[in-house]
Amino acid sequence: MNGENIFNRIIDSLDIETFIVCQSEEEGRRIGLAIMEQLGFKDADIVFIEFLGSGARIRIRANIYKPGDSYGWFNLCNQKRDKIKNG
Amino acid sequence: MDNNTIKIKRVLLVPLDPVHDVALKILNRKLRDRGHETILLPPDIPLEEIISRLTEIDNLDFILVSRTLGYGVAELLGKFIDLAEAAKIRDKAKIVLGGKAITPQLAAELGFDKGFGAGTDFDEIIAFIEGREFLRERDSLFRKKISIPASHNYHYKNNRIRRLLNEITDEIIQWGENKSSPGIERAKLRENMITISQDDKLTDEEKNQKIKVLKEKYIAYCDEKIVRFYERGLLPDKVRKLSSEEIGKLNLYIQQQKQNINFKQMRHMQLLPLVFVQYGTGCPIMDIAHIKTSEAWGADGVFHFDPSWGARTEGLLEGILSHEEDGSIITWENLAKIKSSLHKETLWTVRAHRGLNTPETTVIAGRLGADLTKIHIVYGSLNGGTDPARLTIDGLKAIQFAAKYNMPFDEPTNEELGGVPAYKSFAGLLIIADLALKLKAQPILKPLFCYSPDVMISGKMDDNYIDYNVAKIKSLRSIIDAPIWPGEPIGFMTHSEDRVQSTLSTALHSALAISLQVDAITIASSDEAYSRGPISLASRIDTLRGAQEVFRFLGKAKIKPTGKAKEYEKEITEGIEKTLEKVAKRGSFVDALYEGLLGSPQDGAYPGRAGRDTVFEG
Repeated sequence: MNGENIFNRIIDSLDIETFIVCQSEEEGRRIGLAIMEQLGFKDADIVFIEFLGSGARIRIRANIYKPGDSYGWFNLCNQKRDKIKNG
Repeated sequence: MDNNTIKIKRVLLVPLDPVHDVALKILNRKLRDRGHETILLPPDIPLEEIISRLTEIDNLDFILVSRTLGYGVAELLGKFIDLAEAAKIRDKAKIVLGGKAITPQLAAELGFDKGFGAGTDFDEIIAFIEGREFLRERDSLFRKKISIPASHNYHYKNNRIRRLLNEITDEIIQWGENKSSPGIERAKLRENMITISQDDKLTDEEKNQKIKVLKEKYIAYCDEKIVRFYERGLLPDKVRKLSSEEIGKLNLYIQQQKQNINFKQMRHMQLLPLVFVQYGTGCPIMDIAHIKTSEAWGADGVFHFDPSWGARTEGLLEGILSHEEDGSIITWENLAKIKSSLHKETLWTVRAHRGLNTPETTVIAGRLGADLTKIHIVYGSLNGGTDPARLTIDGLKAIQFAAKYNMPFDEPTNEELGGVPAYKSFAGLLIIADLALKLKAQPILKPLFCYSPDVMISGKMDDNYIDYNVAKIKSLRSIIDAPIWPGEPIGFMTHSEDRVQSTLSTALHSALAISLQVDAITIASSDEAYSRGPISLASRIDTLRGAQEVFRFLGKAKIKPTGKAKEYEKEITEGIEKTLEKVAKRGSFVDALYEGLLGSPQDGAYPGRAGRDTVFEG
């Protein structure tokens, strides 16, 4: 990828959907946010969580760009789109 | 081209696979449906036998050879061509190659007259055989701007309701004579400023001088927040101007997006309903990203959603502005930039309906060539926060502007979400529609497909979400032949933060919409119920895909309601009539709004305060 920050190619946010083994919804939330933190995302939120049985179905969102930010993908718009393919 | 004008061709179809001949069978059926003479050979015949049969058939125009399996494909097809040439079959007919293992380049290299690869539309092959240009349905039929009101005549079917509406709307027009407001004066000034700025006979200096004079008058009708911008260049909190560098990049981005776009086709067998999505991320750059993506995934139209504070502020800002929160600021420049990004067949609507800038927004939308706008006096007065008298006079003028600029407008009955029963909100809806018809405008009825507080309390949706929504549409259709566009978005209050549930709920309400053959729908993203952050672009695609899938699933089939729908329809129509009787008896539409006849505090409707006591004679 020629050292390109690949997250610049994400238009707004990155969702992770998974099933977390936990004892309660609250624990599932804590684990979900901890996963995002360990992955290096600073701005994360639980979009959806449903705890039943052995754990929680969860969707966690990392905000890469919010409206009004300086978007990495937008700044790349002068560059050739195939750069990533050839990287 | 209809079947009567087609020159009949003789076509032989040859599956060169052991078993895979489904595509050729489909093509065979489609060719026969169009009157062509075809012979379909069975699969798994040795090449030599195929060639032998070919030599026995006279007057062939085309030989269509298909190959799905990829192994040894070049050798096999090369041998086929060699044998065909040796048997002089090439002189008799064009030999066409298609299938999953094929590319047009491979077909050309092997010596075939034409090649069609994986994913080819059957109609493209038929067009080639018939010697005509292939127009994709998505480019021709499905990607065409449609006038939503065009197929409706606005004739009343319920004379009792027609008479009541006539009485009420006469009174509104009479009340509005010789009245004005800061919003109307600004709209007139804005219209003049736009006219001057577009006058080629004036020099830039002359334009600036004239606009400066008008701007001073304009500022006199603005709130302090807007005055600060014009006099001191101060923008409201969380608003910033895009830099000239950003604007330059945005122009390039728009250009790139317009070149790259390739549309998915939303609908399957039917032209309606048109599918709209709303944008309003706050940032014009992100808005354009949402718009271009929505277009690509098949949305027919997009509508501009502005911040709620914009409706409560006298006056509009100027420039290309970004806003950190929901809702994209209405300025001439923001809207012009967004308009420049739209595909020519995308319908564009700018909502003007509920606040203190309704007439001016309608003027800007009209002058920029918006296809549609949104105006609703009753909702804006009872749940949108604007004073009823102020919005009545502003709404009247905005409807006249909408008529002048030939923009049909929709009337969202979102007061239902506050708790107002459907029949009361429909009475208000019909009053404004009738008013619009008298002012030569084209109203579009926008009932909600929603799980409203009223039906939660009354239990009308305890069994299903179908009956009551069907009843709403049928009741309106029993009163007037007008376009109907359920919104806003469909399935309101049925969505959860669960992406699958939310998408499915939108999809199922889309199924109901196509089943009822309404004119258009507005769909939510799958982030509809997620309120702690911005709507993601991926979530827009979720619901566009969901709606597309139910359109494919249903085709021309219908959803059948239970007998309850008929009962509810009758109840709604009777409720509308009784509400209109009360409003007509009151003798003042504006007072009826203040007094809760079209939605009371007990229902969850409260007359707004923004712009109170600002209506003046003039």
